[in-house]
Amino acid sequence: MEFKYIALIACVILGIVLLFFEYRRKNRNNLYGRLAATVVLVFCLALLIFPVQYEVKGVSNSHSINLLTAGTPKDEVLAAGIQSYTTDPGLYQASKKTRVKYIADLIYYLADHPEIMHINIYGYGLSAEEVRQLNKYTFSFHPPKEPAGIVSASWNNKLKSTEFLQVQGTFKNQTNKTVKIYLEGFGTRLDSLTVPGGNNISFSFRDQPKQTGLAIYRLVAIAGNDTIAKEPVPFEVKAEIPGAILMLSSAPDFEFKFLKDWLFDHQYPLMLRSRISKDKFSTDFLNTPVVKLERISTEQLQKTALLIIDEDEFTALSMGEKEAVDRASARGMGLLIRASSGDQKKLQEFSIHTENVPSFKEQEVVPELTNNAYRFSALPAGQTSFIQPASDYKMLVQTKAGKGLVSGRINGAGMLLYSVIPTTYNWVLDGKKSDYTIFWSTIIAAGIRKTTERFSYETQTSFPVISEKLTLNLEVADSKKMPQVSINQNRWSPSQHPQFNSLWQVSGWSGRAGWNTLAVNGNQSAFYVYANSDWSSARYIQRLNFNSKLINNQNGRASSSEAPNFVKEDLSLWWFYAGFLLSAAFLWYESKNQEQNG
Amino acid sequence: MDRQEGRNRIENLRLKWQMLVFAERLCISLLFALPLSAVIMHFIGFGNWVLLPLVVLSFISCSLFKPFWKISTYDVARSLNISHPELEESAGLLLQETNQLNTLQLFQQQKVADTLSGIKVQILSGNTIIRLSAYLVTAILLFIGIPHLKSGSPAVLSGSVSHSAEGVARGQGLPPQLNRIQVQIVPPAYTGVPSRKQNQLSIKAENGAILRWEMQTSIPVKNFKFIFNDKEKINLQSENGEGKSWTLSRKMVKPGFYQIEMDGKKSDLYQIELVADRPVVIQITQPKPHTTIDFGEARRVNMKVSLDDDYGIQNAYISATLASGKGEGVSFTEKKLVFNTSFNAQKSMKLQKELDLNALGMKPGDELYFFVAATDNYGQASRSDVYFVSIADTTELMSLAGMTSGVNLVPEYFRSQRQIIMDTEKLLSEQSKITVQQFKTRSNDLGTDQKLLRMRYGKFLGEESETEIGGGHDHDEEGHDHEEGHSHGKEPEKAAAFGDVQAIMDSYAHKHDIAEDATFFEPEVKSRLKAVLTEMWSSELKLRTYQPQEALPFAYKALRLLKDLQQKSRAFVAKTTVKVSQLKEEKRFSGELDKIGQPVMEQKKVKTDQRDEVLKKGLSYLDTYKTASKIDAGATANLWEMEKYLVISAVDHPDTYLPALRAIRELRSGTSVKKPLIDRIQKGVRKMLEQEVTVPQAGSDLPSSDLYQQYFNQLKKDLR
Repeated sequence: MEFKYIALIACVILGIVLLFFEYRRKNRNNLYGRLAATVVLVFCLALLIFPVQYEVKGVSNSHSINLLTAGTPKDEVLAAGIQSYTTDPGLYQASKKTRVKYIADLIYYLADHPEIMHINIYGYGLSAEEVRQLNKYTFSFHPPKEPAGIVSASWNNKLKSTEFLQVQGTFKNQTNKTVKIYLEGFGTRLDSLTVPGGNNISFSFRDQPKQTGLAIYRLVAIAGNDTIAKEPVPFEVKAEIPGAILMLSSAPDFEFKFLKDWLFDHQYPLMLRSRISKDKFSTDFLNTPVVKLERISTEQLQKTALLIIDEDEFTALSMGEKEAVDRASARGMGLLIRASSGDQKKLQEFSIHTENVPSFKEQEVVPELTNNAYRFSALPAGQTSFIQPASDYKMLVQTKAGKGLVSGRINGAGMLLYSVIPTTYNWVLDGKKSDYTIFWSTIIAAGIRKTTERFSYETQTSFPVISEKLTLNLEVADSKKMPQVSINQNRWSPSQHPQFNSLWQVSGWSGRAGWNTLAVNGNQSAFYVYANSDWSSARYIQRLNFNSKLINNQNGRASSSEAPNFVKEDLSLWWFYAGFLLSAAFLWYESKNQEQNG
Repeated sequence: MDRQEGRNRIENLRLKWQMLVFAERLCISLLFALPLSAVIMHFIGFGNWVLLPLVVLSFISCSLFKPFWKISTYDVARSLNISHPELEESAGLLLQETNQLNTLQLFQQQKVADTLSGIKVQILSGNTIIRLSAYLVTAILLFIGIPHLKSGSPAVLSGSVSHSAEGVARGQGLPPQLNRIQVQIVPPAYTGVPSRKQNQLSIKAENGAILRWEMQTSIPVKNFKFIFNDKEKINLQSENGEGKSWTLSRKMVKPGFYQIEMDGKKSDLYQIELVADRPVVIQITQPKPHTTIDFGEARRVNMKVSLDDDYGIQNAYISATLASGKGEGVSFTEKKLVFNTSFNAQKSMKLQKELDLNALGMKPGDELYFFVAATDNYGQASRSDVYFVSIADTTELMSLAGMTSGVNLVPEYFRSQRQIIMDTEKLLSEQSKITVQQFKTRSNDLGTDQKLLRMRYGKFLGEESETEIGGGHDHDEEGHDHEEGHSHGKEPEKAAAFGDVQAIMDSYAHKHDIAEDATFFEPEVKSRLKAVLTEMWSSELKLRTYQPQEALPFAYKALRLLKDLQQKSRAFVAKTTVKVSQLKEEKRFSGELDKIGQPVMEQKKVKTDQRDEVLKKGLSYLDTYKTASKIDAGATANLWEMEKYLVISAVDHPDTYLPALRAIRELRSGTSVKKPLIDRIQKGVRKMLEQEVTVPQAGSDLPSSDLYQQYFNQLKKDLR
């Protein structure tokens, strides 16, 4: 039998016995008072053994914990007077006088307190790593007001030489002061913007970095003389020369000659074969070794990054050669066909349609890039054929009126480009060198074979911070054996993705803010680890969003913060003790009094 | 008051006095100790602890000088006697024991005690309070003020006041031995700028100026060198062999930088910026670049020129070339025309000259090319653009050459304008032989002809003529079935097509084309035609008002414009006489070519100049060095390589690149505050690298592209 019942029965027996004796006493004075006192006495005794519990509506109970994280408004929780905990030493220091308690290790603490099943999160929230370990708990989230400043930013952190760095993001100005944001690098202000008070502004800064290698620009926000934010923008510029370009021409012409000279000036490896008579070619090998080029072989095409060919020469290729070109193109080689005749028969193989507009013969053509609407200077008259739009073709260059000039489509891993512009060297002759450069840079970059990296990496979070666990996702070319990964000359052990054998993951603590070197199978690279103070606004926003999402996703096991939370509380035992004492005292005093009187 | 009370009072005063002296000593000692400790703490670098011992020490020494504890009641009594004559020099009596005094003394004692009780003794006067508080305030002010003085300023330490200009020079990181510097800049004589002196070592001077440095060192220096542009070293000899006074004179024709080396210790780098002399700026405000003088206009051109130079204009003239003749018979004559003013090395001038074309020997059809050339007092020549003046050739206009052949788009009305001119000239020549009435009639007739001609041209522009003269047949030719009289519905044969609604509506509607669009001319031709019509109008006006002489210029101009118009709209095809034999298609590409070789060209582009690569890498190395404690050997080598290029740039543009060069030197000397230095270097290096054009770059593919390729191949296979 449970102790509860034994005690209960004992109390009942005690009560009956006491009542009996009181009732049987000879002196009948104060009978009812004594009986009542006895009942109260026993009742209080029983309630001392079994305290009275009642349910209250409350936030805190023994099964949940209030966890304060960075960004908790000071007055919010503390004013409510609820017991709170924090794992953030900084926050603990700041609110030492209040009732906040410090937990060094949340996981350890929770393991020690198995009754806690629910966590009330205040502030910006927990990091992804912490949340991952707390998957058996339910959460409720009390987010503060969103932080101000640079709340988001991104940039292309791996550039190739002459490419532009583009830093974009949002600035939230909650003050009524005007804030100036600027991009600073190499001791120079490169680009700037003013944000009026109380505005949210998206910014986009652009600069052509001049270094080769690693560099850190800074994104600075100043209001008056106060620097609000000074965030690092690390990036890397690599100098790379793309693969070889092969040009096949049906006759020596100026267009190919100018293109050849221009590419040669920029140190591109290229080969130019011009047909000068029947089966006779004039060949140029620039920055490449001499090879036989009478027939186009598959091996040759494998080494080629881009093949530029005119339509006549393409028709003159043998069936075998055409097959080889098609196969190479599907495997990643770029193919640019120059056709200005508008002869539909020659184009059958490419399922491209052109329209001939003879009336254009006398008119100048003004090409325009479709992606950024850059307008070139006019090209001389003579253009009669235009590309018709097709569903699988993407227009790259068109006239002002929208008539297609250069178009392209994906062919396997490669890109097939098609140009109907007869000549572009006129730009060079007219001194419009920049037009020529932009035109061919765009076309060649769109078509040329992509370089395959030995490995690539990605940090798990967009702003890895020194105080948080670092996780790198790696993609490695050689998937047969485990990659050798070392960070800052220390070996790290990767784990493989369960489905994809080329994906690996390493995690740990980098221990160094700033540039960290990463070597995978001996190939060097570098990634940046931020200091705790860097990009705080942007990181808090990310954390806020992550935590809000987490709360929304905990369906099934969720108890949300809005649902009333009933807590059982004990009525203080002192009440019963007092009752017990009073009634006992009355009984004692009464009997003493009666004796004296008696 | 009895004796005891008086004695107590004196005792009391003694205590007060002691305390006052104590306070005074304390104030004085603070006045010494506080500023001294401030100086020691700030300039010598001792900690705050120095304050306490200093205060104690000075207090003790002050007190020893005037020991407050030794003040006795007798002193108080003496002082009371001095300050209060009513005590009758007897305050001391109060301090003596009564039993040792005689009767008189007792009486006096009693009297003094009474007097003393009646006087009010004031130890702490207002003056004392002011004095003490002045001590205290001065001490505290000095204590607070001293740390705000410039650290390391020798003026404060030595107490001497140095020359303010020298103070500026010291700010530039000058060797401490130098105590007097003066740089004299003597600009070249032609500039007319007086010589000047300065105390700074960074120099901005006129090109060709002579610089003279005068320097004095505080201690004898054995070796005193000037290093120009990091390579040219000049050893200086001291003036009197003492090694203290040094001078150097040098004519500067190239900008750059220099530094001073004293006994192997090198100074900072100082820039020499040279302001080059600008050539004369010539602006011709009149005439226009192309001027045509028509028949009847005055053959003279008024020229207005403004000249500007930074130091003075020495000379200016007009160089005129006359081209006369036609085709192969063109002859050129060159003439130099001078302005009729003197050039007294003025900085800015406005000149005027009238070119008399007749005096130059210009005939109709000739062209005059001229430009203004000027030299400044440095001897630099400059010249303006070439301007053209031509005189319209009327005889050329009258010729029919060029009209008889070729495609003629414009109808043959030119002859009429020519005819009108010829007739007008004939009329003028016959004026003396005929009567006034005849003259007027003929002039009026010519005016009518001119009008007809004008209206015919007007038709090309879609203008409607007010009469039918010359217009009617054209309308018919164009099939325009509507006449000016608005004869709507008067032509039954035209309305024969009964039921043709369109035709009926046409006959009632006043259907004109839009005048501007009715013709088949281009806008440019139209505007020219309009100009012709304007000239014709004027010509007609003069003819009608019997002023044929005045009409001629307008008539000529109209003719010239018409001729231009005709030349414009003509296509010219050269004659060819080559006859090509017919190609035999079957024989094409059938020749034997096996003995014909194929040209093969091989070229390699190797960049010999490593400058850009070194600078680009250097930028990145520097960036890493900002946070890293040291950099590897390769990067260091790169940085020193970079310094070489910086020197080259700094020689040409010291004002732009010298800060960077200074910074890199400072960085090399090893300093803890790297970041601002590196920023400065990077700023300079970034400027040295030019903006690059975007060259095509290949995109990047993910490493596991093999997987995707397999997937693609599989898809393709499935599709087949």
